[in-house]
Amino acid sequence: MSDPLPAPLLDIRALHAGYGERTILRGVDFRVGRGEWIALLGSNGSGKSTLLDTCVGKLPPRNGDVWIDGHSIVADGVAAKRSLGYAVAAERLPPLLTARECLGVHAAAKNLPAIDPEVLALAEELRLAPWLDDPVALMSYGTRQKLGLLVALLGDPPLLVLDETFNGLDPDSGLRLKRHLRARVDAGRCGVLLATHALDIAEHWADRVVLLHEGRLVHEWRRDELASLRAADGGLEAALAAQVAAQVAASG
Amino acid sequence: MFHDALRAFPPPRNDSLGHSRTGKAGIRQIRSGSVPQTELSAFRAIRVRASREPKMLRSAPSFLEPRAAPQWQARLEWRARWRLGRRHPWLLAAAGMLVIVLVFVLWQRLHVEGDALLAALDARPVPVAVVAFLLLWNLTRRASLRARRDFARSWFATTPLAPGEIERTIRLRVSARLAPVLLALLGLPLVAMAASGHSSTRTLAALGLGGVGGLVAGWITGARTPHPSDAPLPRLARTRGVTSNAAGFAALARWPFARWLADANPRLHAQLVAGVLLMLPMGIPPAIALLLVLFTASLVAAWALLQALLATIPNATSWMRATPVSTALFTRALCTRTCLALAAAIVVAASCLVLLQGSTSMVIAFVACALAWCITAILNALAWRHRPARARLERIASGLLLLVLLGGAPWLLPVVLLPIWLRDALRLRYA
Repeated sequence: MSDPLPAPLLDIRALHAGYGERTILRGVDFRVGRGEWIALLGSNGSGKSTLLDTCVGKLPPRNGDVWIDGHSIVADGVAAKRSLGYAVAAERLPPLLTARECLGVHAAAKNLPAIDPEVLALAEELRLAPWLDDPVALMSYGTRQKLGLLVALLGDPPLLVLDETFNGLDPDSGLRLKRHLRARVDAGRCGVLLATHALDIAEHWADRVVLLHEGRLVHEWRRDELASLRAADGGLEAALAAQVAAQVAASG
Repeated sequence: MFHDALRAFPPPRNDSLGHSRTGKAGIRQIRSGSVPQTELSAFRAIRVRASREPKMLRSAPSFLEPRAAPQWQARLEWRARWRLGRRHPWLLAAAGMLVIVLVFVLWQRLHVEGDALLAALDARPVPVAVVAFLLLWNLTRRASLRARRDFARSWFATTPLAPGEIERTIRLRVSARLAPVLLALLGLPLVAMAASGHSSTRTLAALGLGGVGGLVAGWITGARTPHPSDAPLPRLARTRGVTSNAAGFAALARWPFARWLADANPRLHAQLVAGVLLMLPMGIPPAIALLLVLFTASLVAAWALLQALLATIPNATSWMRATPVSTALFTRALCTRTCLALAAAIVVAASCLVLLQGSTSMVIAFVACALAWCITAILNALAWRHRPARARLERIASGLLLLVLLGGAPWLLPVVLLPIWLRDALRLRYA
């Protein structure tokens, strides 16, 4: 993969990672720049979540390194995580806390003096207000997903890492969120790395789409290619299916 | 009337964290029925609108301890638990009473038998220290590993918390887990001394030395274990080779056994047996030592099997909930084989007691207590299978009750247990 930006927000170099005896990622090289929205596609079990877990410091790499805003996640994890916003998975939110307490605690963990007014305004926009003072345990999956994303936005981090964050969201909230993220990206405030199976997001909202197959990045669609795919018959779905089939055939 | 209620039930105020507070006077007025329902619903609508819209942007919390987010979360969770607990004041009061009665019964027993217990411990300071060391080492190591693993998987894992703050959080979590054990380990001899009026510095010194050594060793070995999220779960590693050809309900019956095998910790069991051997007096015949080891092993096996079954019941329930399987069939399929194995383990333990020349009354009391506890715990888990947290609470309460009865009035056991079993059986049948 070539590097379009001189100073990437996320710089992944020769990354190998896995669990126990299993190696999942095999030499991933990849960059995300400021003002870029990257969609990460791949079959189930291809290593998308493992890649994101390694990027955010939840899983230590076996080889290679991950740099966030110039700081290594291995050698200088605290500094790297200051530039990171990670959407907490719905099942990882503390069930006994209210949504407002979740935001408060996470803001404190990021050493913020207060919950960002912009995040609260977005919560209003996403119609999260009625649940702000309810425990997470009482929330639906979609509401938790919204809360997880709001947690990621606290402190206006330059890099946003999102793992299937749009799953379970109602269409209206999904659209509002996509617009909000796109506006942030276009304003150059952040870069977004989103792992997803939603091809409409990849095709219509992302700047680049990369395909992960068996722990390796095997293909990339740039903005101009995505534009031509939108006009073509079958679009990204057909192109993706063809790529996966080619990879499966190549690996025997 | 409506405006009075509105004044008494003001829009929520925000505290420093932006939490809303409701007017208690208004709640009292509504509960007492002095606000008509039509006015009430209109009032609610206004209050909800007023509270939802501007509140969000008004809240600008300031944090007193910006670097102690995990501790703050723990405090908030305790507050939430307390709020939940307050909904059941009678349950809390009953549990409190039970604990007080238990302490009283313990005090009475130690008043009578404290001297003998202390004399037995005083005679073996080295084994006492070794057992305390092994116990604390294992518990601390496991608590440390668990705290580190939980933290690595928690939502704080991706936040820029300083390493010192993470260590402090882990230390606090480990201390919270170990506090009850330390309290019991040092509290029991202290209570025995106070009750019997007999001083025993040797036992206290042995417990203190062994305990502190175990704490330090456990902390060091726990911290040096590889990164928890990178290492495979021991359970997965142990069950990787286990395959089953069981089909249908036989698979359900095998579930508790699979869990039993997966949760087994041979190193811990070996240390337990070593502790028992250490506590034996010198020169004991090998046959008796072997019987004691067999007795311990069967008790450990029965306990582990019971725990596996209790853990499997809610899991299997949620898995089978959407299927048309009847409660009777589900219970029979899941529990029959495990209960038979449990009974076999209890019989083996009782046989050991018989061979060790235990009195008939002691053997009968042992079998009755073991069966009573197993039946109570299993029935309770089945009755509250849809609510595992409630089942755990009920189990703790039943355990305390059983201890109180055993220590104070064993003849009351059937009188108290039969209604509990009947209640649980009825709940299992009709809930």
